[in-house]
Amino acid sequence: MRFTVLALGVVGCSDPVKSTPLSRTERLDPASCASCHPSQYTEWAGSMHAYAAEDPVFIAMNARGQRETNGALGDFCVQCHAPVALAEGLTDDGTDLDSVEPSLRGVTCTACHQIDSVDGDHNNATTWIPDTFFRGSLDRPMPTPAHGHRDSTLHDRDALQSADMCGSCHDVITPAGIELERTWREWQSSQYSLSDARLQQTCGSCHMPGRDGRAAEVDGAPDRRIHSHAMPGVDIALTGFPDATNQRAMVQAALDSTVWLQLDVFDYGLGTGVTVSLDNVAAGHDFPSGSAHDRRAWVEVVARDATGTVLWSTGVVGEGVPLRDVMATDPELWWLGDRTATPDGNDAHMFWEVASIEEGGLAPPSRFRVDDPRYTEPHVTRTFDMGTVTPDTVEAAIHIRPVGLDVIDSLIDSGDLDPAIRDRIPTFTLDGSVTRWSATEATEEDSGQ
Amino acid sequence: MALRRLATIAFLTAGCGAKDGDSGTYEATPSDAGCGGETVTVAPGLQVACTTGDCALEIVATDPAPPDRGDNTWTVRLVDNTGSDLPVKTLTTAPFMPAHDHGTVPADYAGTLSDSGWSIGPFDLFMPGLWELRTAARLDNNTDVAIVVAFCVEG
Repeated sequence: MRFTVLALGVVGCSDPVKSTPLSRTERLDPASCASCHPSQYTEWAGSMHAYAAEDPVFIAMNARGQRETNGALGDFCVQCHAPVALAEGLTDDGTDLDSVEPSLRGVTCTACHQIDSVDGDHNNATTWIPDTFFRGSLDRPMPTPAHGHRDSTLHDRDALQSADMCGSCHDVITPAGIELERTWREWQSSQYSLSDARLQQTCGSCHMPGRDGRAAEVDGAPDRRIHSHAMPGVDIALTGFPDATNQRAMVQAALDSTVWLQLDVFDYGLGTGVTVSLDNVAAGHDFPSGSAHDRRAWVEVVARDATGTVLWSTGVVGEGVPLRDVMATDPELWWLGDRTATPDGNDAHMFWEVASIEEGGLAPPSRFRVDDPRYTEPHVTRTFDMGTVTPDTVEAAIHIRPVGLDVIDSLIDSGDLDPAIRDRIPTFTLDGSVTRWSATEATEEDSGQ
Repeated sequence: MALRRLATIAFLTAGCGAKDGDSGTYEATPSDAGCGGETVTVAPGLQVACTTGDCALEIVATDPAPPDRGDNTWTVRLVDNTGSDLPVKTLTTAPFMPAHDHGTVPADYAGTLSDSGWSIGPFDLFMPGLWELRTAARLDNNTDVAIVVAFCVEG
């Protein structure tokens, strides 16, 4: 009789798709999650977290880095790109990921949902415990025999601590001690990291937007406020990968609203000047961020006469042309992002060569008062002297490539990257930044029409 | 034995114990995104008074409904205290997050008049939290009116 009651109790409680506990192998395999969490799995499967160890640029850069440092790089890359494979002892340095089951590569479900604590602020300083519990932020989760649940603020978008977990891999310090990637630190310096609920925006607030739905597709599961696991940023898949078109569209949408660009065209007596003002409005971190030393973001400004003839320009970068190549002929080029140098002061092309870094991204609104030395001005301007031209229109826009073509060319030249990848590097134009000044409209405004 | 059975049932219920009292259903736990109680619920028919108090902005429709993260387009009309349409020459809006001191990209949007009212947008509400739709309208008689609709975008 007791067994009858017990059986009724379990079925009535959850009626799970998975009626037995997941084995250890199953818990490490994202496909095991798909039956009860299909939307989360589908979103994740097209994400850059799923792609982390498949990305040919990562594979090429790691291979070259291991070779050029005689293996000193060790697990530097793979600690975040394939943390489960590393923890399971399936790779030491990531050069042999081909031999690792795809389910154990990349940043998988277990890689995040079995992080038990964050012990530092960079290079995946976390404690990962592949036990029978998955960590999450569900209020009173549906019981399931598949796995246990541990409530965790690290996995709660509404908790500031959740940013610490993201930051553990999205801040990277090189073996040489260079703070190469600082997305978490940038966010920490912004008003969005304050505990004031009116200001607070965590990583998940923007990159994991909420929706009403079920956390698990099992009978009796309630509608909750759940969140997307697609997590778009700026990188996209460069090889065949699920949901690539949708991912690209999400990246484009996220970029479109990021930076507000304003133009002021003026006659200074001896010629015409144009002041371009940029405000990082929507990124809770710098723009660009992450591997900002490899990203290429820039400002394009073009002045034309009434016939459309270009009178003056900067930042006009042809399709397939590396930004670095344009610098030689475009001294006014406004490059947004980090510049890195080798010990002898030359441009560093690969991160293991970097001895110094000059930060050049657009900072988000700061948490500090204007008189605080840590205050950063989110409103950045640059004035260009267009000389004696009298433009009829001036148009400006911001473009970004997730990785510079000069970086890609270098990896191709070293034999580490398939040349076919080069044509797949996108150039995004931030639609919200596209701004046009017209002499006619300016005159009408001045005359109050 | 009966006591033991009751205890077993009680234990199982506690294990399931995720249900709310008598309703027998789980409750969603929406995030208020730090908006507090300063907001209105934007829905068709809602009227928000002009700052001068002698007119109101009426929500005709929003897409999506209710307003949500991402691109939003609203249809509105400006009415007087009797609910009649006011003759509007121009209408512009600027979505803004007052706590953050930032708006959208671009910052403002000119309304376009259609049969159902003034259409504004699409504007990207890219962050959850308290947003204000700051609307300025110039009437045919060149009177300027302003309306602020404060609403919450859920996280």
